[in-house]
Amino acid sequence: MIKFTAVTKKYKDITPLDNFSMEISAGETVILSGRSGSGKTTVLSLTAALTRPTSGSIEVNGRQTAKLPEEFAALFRRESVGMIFQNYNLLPNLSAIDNITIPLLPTKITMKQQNERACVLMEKLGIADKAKTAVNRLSGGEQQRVAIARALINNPPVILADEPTSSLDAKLTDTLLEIFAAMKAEGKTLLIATHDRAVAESGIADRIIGIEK
Amino acid sequence: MKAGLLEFALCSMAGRRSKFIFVYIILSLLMILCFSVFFVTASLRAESSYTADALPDISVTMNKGGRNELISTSRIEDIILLPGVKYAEPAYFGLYRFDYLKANLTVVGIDPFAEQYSEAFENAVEQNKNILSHDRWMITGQKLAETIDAIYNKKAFSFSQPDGNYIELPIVGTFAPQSQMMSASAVLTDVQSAKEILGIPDGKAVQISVYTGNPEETDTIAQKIAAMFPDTKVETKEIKQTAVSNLFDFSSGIFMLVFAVSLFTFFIIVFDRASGLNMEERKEIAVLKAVGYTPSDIITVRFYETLITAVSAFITALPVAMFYVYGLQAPFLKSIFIGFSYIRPEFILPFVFPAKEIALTFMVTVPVYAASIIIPAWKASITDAQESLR
Repeated sequence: MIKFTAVTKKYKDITPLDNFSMEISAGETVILSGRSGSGKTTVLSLTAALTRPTSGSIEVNGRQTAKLPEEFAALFRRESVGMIFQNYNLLPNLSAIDNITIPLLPTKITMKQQNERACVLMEKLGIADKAKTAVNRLSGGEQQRVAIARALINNPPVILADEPTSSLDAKLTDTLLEIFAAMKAEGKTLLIATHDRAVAESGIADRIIGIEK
Repeated sequence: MKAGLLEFALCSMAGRRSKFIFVYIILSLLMILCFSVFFVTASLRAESSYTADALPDISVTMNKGGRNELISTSRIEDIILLPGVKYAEPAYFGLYRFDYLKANLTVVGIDPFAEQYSEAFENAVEQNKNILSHDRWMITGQKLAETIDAIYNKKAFSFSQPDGNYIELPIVGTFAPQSQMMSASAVLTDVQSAKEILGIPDGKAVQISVYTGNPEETDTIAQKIAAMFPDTKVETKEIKQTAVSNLFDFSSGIFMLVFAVSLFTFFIIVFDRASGLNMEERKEIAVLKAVGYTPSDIITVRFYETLITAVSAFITALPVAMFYVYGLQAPFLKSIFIGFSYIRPEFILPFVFPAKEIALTFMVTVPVYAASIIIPAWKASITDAQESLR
């Protein structure tokens, strides 16, 4: 469950989010829509405790995250949140499998188990044959799937996706929506920030929350 | 140790190998230079101790207004009466300007058959058995003897006396190789010749050398002599040996070391500040944060990277420095320490391993380098990552 109560985020001279409230139930798929600069990415970052609100409270999976110290915020992200970024944010010097297993490296999971988990996900996402390929040699769609696998490797209950289709063509968008549908079927909570109508109209979302400034 | 983070550090380094190879080369060069300086210093110190063994237990010189003057040999009669003094004798030495080489020779007059010189003399001089057959003689370093032979085509050297006359001394022997460093420009002669070359009148000496029976009593005897003759400068062997060691430790070695460390550390820091936390690295840290890395995980990754680089540099530098100093005899560096004089000594650097200094170098250079990598990474790991992820 994700709950924002009167959340404001201010930077020096801009306020991307002002007195914003929302509530998302566990297992729900929600699309955040709005124009560029409306604060969609800020909502995702606040949900993942990557940034802190100037005021207001945020609760994710029963934990107050607004004032978590960095050490605990990181552990919260590791356990509870998987993030899919607009530009994938993969580490270009590493192979696909190395990128996917990055979140598991600081944990006590053995290397063998890490690789097994990654292989299962790559198989599911259709990139098993690209495991050892450096990610900067993969196509946009393949990189997107590597990013999705990385977000899922810790099996987090909450998945946050920021403009996931912005770099994809129509065919790849359909594939991605199928992947999201599978996640939804597994009971994960999905929060997708997008201004892509195709996603909004795909029927995947239980709800659409519009953010206006 | 978290094996996963270590593996990530290795993968990350492999991806940015050109940067790490550059830092590795710079760190290796820095360590090679530092280790070489320490090896040469320690080796020279050991070498100098061969000659220092021949120093008297106490030396007494006349000092007036900061000037060294000749001392009356009649004072020996008072010194010899002090309890614990084994014997005391006048010493004759001084500098002689050899204009042809633009070098100063240290002329020392000795009685080669005196008991106190026997052991040191045996160790220091080769072919000294000829001395008995000459009233006047000189012994010098191999290099100087060869030079004199090359210039004058004879195994003898004419010294000019203060009164303008010349005195020719045959070269009857050369110093043994292990004492060549300190004795390269030294000339041993018989006492009378030394006095004539240096213009020392009868009844005067440059120094009174005092030998004690018990080393434990040396300091006390030195204090008594100083109290008895307040116009003299009284120094023990220990003080003189320390002065010789310090000459190498501080005048050249430490200066070189500080200079090298400052320069290279600065270079590395500047390099890392300029290119270390660029957009790519900032983004990498932001991604690690986003996937659940704590600040301590991020610091651990950077620490492993630093440690791998530094240990690799250390493992490379140590044998290279040892080969440079003991295998190749430290070309150029040895000259810096012992001077570029024409008659600079030819000698083999004895093997010495200054473990403390080597450890110290590692402990000084690595934390500086590590701090320049880890501190920016730590800062990035606790700041807002949102911007870097866009």
